[in-house]
Amino acid sequence: MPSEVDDTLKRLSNRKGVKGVVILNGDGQAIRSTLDPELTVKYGRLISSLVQQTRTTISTLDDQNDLTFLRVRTKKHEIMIAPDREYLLIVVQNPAETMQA
Amino acid sequence: EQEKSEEFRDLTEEERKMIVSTPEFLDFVDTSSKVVERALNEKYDFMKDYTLGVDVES
Repeated sequence: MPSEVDDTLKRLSNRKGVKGVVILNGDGQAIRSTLDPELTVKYGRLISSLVQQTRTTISTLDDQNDLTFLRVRTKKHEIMIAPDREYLLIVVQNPAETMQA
Repeated sequence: EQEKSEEFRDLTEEERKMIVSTPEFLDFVDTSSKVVERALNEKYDFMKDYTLGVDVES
């Protein structure tokens, strides 16, 4: 069963333009990561705090609402974040590369 | 500082194994990876040609 998870991660991280894939728990601790350990810890701490902040913003605006997906476009890349109750999937990609037909 | 590194300590291999074997986690990976893959499949870049003052190496 766990190898299914690793297959999925490998498939994602092998895609053109994808720089890294990280899965975090609710405390920002990495369960799986294709980034180096130092960067993984940074992403874990900072992205989980960004998600927490975004979630609070959304539910404060409308308490019936909740965050479902977060895309952050930057000069260098795009960070895609899929959150659920318990876990977070982070994919860092370079859109200029992934979108080449 | 000590407290911070305590708070963000890495999970142990044992803890990781435990999480990865739960149906909730497998469900999460299945669903979230599909959503991300769909986003990655988009061929249209809405920022293209409008990225000001940035040298994007390609």
